[in-house]
Amino acid sequence: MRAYLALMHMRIPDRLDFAITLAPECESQACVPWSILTLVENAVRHGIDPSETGGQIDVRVRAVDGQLVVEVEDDGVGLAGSSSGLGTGLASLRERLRGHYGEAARLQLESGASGHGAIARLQWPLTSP
Amino acid sequence: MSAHAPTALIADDEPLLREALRTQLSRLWPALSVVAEARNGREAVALHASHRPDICFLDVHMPGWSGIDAARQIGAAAHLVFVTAYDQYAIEAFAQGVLDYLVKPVDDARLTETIRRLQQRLREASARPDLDALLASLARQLGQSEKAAPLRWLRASVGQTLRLIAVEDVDYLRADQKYTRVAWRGEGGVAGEALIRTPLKELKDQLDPEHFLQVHRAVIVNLRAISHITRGDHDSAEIHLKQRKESLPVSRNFLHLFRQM
Repeated sequence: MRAYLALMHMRIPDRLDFAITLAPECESQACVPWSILTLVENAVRHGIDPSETGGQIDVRVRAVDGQLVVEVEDDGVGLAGSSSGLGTGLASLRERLRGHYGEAARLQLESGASGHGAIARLQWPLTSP
Repeated sequence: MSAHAPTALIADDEPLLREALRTQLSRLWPALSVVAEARNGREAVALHASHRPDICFLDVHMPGWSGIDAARQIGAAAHLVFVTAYDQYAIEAFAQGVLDYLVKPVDDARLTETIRRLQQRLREASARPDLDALLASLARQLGQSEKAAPLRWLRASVGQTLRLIAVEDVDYLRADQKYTRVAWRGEGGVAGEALIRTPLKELKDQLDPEHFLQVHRAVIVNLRAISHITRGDHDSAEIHLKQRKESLPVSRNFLHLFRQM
């Protein structure tokens, strides 16, 4: 995921900034393969790429009430502005999550707090070390 | 035509690709001077207006205004060459027209051929064809290619939040005056309702017919949400849902859909 963001930053250096915050207690947590990457790819493709001015992508991983919570937020064009085609990646991610965690995993997508951009939130139960 | 050395503008949202094309052009056409570089369609139009280059190389997919949008503004004021990532659909669209286009990554042979054509046009000062109609149809074709897949998400405003509801979480859709009421299940199967602005009729064409069925003039149901169907008098029927108390009407016109089931 870091490599992907670094590569995208190389592609559009003037339009993409990113930050990754990983809480220490989450470092050893297992992650459904490609799950965070899917969200980050979406943020680039649907949030930043269509925007003339670009934006910032924040990836935050933390533990809340026994759940691992991954948030990928961008301040790009937002859900209303993004073109169609949204969904293939998320739909297949949903199915993979269901395969790993059943109904215990959640995936939400909302418009950003500031009124533009989008937040994708992914959560599943923490596994005890 | 002009006595001056030919000039060009390059528009691409990716700096590395602008640089690659500039380097390639300087190698294959040393006389050409690249006088401006744009990061999107809007910049391309503005820079074209201020620099008046003979040729514009326009990336098709750029944020905001695309290369096609820019081309429609620039029109016949420059020789246009489109640059596109490999995409069968786009290439077919270009190949049908008389437009010059390059496919990324741009190979030397192809670029040389394009350069030769451009040089000839500059020499002959040939009238640039009127591209309006062509570009309009191209924009339409490229737009369409992105819309073919069935709808996966509904966008619903809940207060200040725009929420995306996955279509597989939808139990049913019911027309509500100009709006559509979406009955869906959120986290943990909790039933929720939301209003969306798209009319039912429009949604019907976008939903995957394998999972969604119109059973009434005002109702579309997710087949996976159905528990059972009971028949009533006078050719009527009711759909009972797995996780909801309310039942849905099946109108006579749609009853045949359940005959074989």
